[in-house]
Amino acid sequence: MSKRAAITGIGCVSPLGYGLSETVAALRTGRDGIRAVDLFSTAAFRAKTAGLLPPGLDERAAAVTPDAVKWPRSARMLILAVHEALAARPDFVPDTVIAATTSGGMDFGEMFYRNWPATMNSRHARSFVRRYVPHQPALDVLGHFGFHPPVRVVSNACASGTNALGLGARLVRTGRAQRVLVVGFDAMAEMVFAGFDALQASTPEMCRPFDRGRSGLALGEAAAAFLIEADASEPLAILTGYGCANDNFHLTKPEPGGAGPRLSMQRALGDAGRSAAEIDYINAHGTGTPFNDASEAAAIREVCPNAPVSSTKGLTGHALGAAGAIEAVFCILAMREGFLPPNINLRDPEPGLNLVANQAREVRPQTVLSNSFGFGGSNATIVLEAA
Amino acid sequence: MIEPCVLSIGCHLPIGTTPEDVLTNVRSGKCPGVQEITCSDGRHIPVFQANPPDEILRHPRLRRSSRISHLACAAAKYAVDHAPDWNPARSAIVFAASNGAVIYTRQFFDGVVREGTGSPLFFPETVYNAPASHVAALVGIDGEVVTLVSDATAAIDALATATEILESPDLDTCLVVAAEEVDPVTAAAYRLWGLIRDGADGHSEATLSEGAVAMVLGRDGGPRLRRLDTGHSCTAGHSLRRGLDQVVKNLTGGHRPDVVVCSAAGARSDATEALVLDERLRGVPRLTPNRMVGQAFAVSALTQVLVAAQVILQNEASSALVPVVGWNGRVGGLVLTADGAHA
Repeated sequence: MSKRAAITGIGCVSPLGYGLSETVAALRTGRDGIRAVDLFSTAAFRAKTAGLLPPGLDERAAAVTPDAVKWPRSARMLILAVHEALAARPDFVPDTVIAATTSGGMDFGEMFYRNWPATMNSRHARSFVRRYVPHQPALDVLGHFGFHPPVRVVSNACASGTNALGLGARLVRTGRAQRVLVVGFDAMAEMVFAGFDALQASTPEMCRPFDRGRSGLALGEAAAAFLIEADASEPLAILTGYGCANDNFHLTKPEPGGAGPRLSMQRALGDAGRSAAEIDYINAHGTGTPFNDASEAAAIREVCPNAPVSSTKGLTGHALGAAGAIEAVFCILAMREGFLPPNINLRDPEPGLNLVANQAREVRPQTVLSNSFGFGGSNATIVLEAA
Repeated sequence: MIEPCVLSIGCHLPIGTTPEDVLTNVRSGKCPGVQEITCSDGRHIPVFQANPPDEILRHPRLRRSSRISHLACAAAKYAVDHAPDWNPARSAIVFAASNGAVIYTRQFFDGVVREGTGSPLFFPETVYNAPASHVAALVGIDGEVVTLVSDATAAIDALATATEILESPDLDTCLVVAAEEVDPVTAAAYRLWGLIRDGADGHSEATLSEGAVAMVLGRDGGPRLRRLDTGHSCTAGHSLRRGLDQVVKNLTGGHRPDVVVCSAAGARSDATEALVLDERLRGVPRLTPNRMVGQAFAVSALTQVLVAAQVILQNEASSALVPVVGWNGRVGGLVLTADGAHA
């Protein structure tokens, strides 16, 4: 790897707010964005809450482009994130785009499947079908900004966002690209909510990552964007390490000993040329499910036993394909603003971890590690460093 | 930067289950038998279908997995079994798809979301990377496993990603797989979009299809992926013709390939592809495998690469251009050559 993958612009929307300022304020104070789901009926489900964007998405997206009213929710979210990231570098034109999503324009797919042909005519059905496909939100948003580069869409379940960042940085570090736009986006959709609820992976009470009494995850939604450039001056952060592993254990259940996460973290550290002792903060995948957190905790205890750890999913819910991307934004904000985001809702912490329990810590980390794991045994880790 | 070679190929397609059979059937213009599926509006859509082999259906890990996973695993196993010096500890996987596990998605939606009953076990199988996960378990890879989703150009993205992965000195090979399954929902959707054949519609002729193609890439020993262009997104005023012309110009760079393995499958964009090739490469022989393979998106694109590799392996050409035109405006392509030959 001959070049430095410099992150020169970031933007985000999440249950913590619209844009970086609202996000920092919520992270610092530990204000969560979990609320009752009002996008569809939850009457048939055990879980009733999720991390949802604050009101105002449609108006904000339409202010960027009136076309946004025709787009799925995820594209409306994504355009805000990309718009904010580009504000820092108005002359940025990507050579390529790496996008992460698990469900693309799922709300449009559901609309089509529910209503056509009974109550939806073919002309309307066509527009829903065209925008349902996972890469279309990225294409719509890029078209708005006049960008026509190749778009690679990573869909590695809940590890997608971290994989996309790793792949994007690799393109820059190896000299294959000078400027890469990496985005992650996933919006709340009934099908996905029903899926996690049916598996009883969602909690009917409160998401408590790394609490011994944890009972499951809260779903979330988010979009995040990153401008990555080769050897740029004045970057926000540098992506120095990427590792991934596949644990071949079970389609949904992680290997209990944490073999996959351990390998992924070790590979990322090796790629960054950093030792565990140099890691100042770990943003854990920490979904709040009994199995995930046990497996990840085992890996962290073994690889980075002393590093401060928090999962921010108690604040945001689990944004699936966008989780790794939004959590990388949190890591960059932590390094730039000088705090460690809290792991909220802890009552009885998992032992053997240096958890940032319930309140943010006023420390300025220099080197951070972010984990994302997903169905299919996907494990991905990145190392980010202060510029 | 490395230019990887195609070390082995596997496939499970309606038109054949070995690379040699596929090329023979493409050359003879032999189409698979057409079957029909019924959409929710009562229309019957002609499709090509592939039946997964029994050994895959009976595999303990795969008994409840989706059709797309079965097809992907069948092709991947064949490719791995025919790869020289295959070592899973030094390999990775890149999987490409356009639609994913639609059959289980529909069954889960009908059962759990609509009816409030049904099996939750369908849900994990609906995730785009589930087929890649099954392939990884089947062939024993614990390293990098990436799933990419797009139109047909997902196959080009996958080959580009595999090339980047092979820059790592820790790896010798990368298994690239594309798979797709046919379902009434996708049939209805693509018919509405005007992309596939409808029994009553004479305007579009691409037949919806399914199957899987897999190839093991390595550093040396087989047709070489000499140039690759992940292309452009031809949306919002960027014309498909201009985008494809740039790709063809970039890939050929003044050299005329011996053969072009075209993307044409019966869609409207076929005319644009023909126009660009007429302008840039008039007189170069063309093969159009997707007329026989059908519209299976990323699988169709990887089938083009399969055909290009077979033509080179059988010494019928020393270089082949593979342009890929996706259904939502993405274009890309590659040039494959006999190892040692110039692009």
